[in-house]
Amino acid sequence: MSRGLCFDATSMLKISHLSHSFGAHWALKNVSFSLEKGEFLFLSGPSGAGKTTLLRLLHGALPVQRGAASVAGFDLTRLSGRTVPLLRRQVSVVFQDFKILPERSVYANVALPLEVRGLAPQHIGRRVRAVVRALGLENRLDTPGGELSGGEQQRVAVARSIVVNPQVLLADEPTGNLDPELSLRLMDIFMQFHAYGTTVVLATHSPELIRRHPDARLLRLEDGMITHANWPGGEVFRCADGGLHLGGGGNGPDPCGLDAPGIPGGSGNSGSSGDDNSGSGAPGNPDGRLSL
Amino acid sequence: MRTFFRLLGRGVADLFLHPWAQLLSMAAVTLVVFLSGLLLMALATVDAELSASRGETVYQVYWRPGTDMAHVRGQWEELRHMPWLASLETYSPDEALTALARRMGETTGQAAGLPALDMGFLSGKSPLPPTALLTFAPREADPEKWAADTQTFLKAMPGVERVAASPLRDELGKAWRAASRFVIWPTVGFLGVVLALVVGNTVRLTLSTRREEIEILQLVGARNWYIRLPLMVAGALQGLLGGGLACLLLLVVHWRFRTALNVPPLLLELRLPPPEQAALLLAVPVLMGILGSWIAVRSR
Repeated sequence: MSRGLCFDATSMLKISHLSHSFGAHWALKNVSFSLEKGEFLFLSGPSGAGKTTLLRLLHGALPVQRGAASVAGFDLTRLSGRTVPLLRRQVSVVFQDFKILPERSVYANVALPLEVRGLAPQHIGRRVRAVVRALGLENRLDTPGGELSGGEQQRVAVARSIVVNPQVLLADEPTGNLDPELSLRLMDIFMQFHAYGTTVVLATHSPELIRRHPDARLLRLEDGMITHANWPGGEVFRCADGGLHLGGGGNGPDPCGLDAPGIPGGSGNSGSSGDDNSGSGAPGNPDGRLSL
Repeated sequence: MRTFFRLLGRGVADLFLHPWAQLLSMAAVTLVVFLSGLLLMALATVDAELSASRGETVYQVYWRPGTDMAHVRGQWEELRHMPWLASLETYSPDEALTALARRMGETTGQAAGLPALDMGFLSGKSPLPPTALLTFAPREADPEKWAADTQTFLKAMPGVERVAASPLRDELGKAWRAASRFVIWPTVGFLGVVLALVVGNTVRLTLSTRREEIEILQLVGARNWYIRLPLMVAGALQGLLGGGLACLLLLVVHWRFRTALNVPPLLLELRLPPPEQAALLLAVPVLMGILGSWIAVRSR
């Protein structure tokens, strides 16, 4: 059962009590947070924490099972085969394994999302060349993707995702296959892009990257729950299941509440978050709110 | 419209993206269509032979003894122009007598060691009537009505005393025509299903080499028709080329081995499948190429 969400104009990404299971295994448990336009969020956590599941949900690769989510104005609980392509025209994704077409040139790879939108060839050419130049790939335009180095392939994947100027950019371990120097260069590109107003969600294992960007928001996921948050200016609640919930106060009286019985650690919280929170490691905050 | 034509062009160009996969897939399509074609060819050959030997209807017409032979010969000329007539044997009374004497000599006289019968004393006074043996190979939609009409026509001819039909051969012909309705088309249908399944699966499996491309196109927001159109064009082309190549091979086989079985005791001449079945050999691979591509992009 999904909860209704109140979407305001500035909310680019809003998820509420999102849970997702693969068979009996719950990959995400009752996760809630929201991001406004132009915010940058690091998702950290060990392998299997639920980062990739969350990103896959956010671009419609997985259906929402429990909870509610909205990205770039699209209600993810109501996505259909017809609306998924429209969502993906607003939400770009960069993967750790690049996902570029090895037999097609750099130009063809970067131009792909623009061709899909039916733009005129001259317009496509201008956009592609500008982005490729910004990423230092202008000399490799005609090279097939399969002949590029790992770093170059990753830059092609990034170029493909930013060439359409998306509202939301999701990146799943984009620096996972790169050396430290290339990782930092790629992060600079993401930060520049974010500076133009794109909302970025970047999943990473690298503490170094996170340390270098202390102003960005941070969520740490473990076992499908948010266990740590750096959320300047936001409200954070600790619930009985040990997870944190962010900005939940605006959605209703119970940020920790769960409608879905059967989610581990979740059932029974509804309507008693105040008591639970006060007894679950939030001393000095009788209403359960943590100061971060 | 520009995008549409660009995607059609991409479908053609994509055939050369994974040449080995495409080549192997086309070889598989060609072979399975060729095998189906060979079966249809065998079926057409057997059908033609059985229809020729068992689909015939024979009538023997007897005129009244003493009927004016000039009048009878005129009627024989008319009979030669009847539709579906395969052969006409005619016997004047004297010819009938000679034939009878020869037949009797062959069957009884020689067996008993007696000399051949000499019926020369009856020459010009033969008591036998003029007769005609008509063999038809009808291809009528309603053969029973045709048989009844023909028999009525023959009986109504002036001077005709009676008409004898060959009920056994007639019945065999009817039986084969009925059987061919229940054997040939179901067999062709079964072959069509086998062909469709094999070709469809082959094309679908070929697209597994492009799984990642389909996934990437979906990730960048391509609608299903945008992804499917080039794949369906490529699938249709693959089916058309495979089917066309198989039909060419069948023509070569027919040209080279048409008379290879035309020796005793087989005496079979290879026949090409009829046009509507040959069209199936082209249409099924094309349709299944399109359908296989459609199914391959079914799930997002």
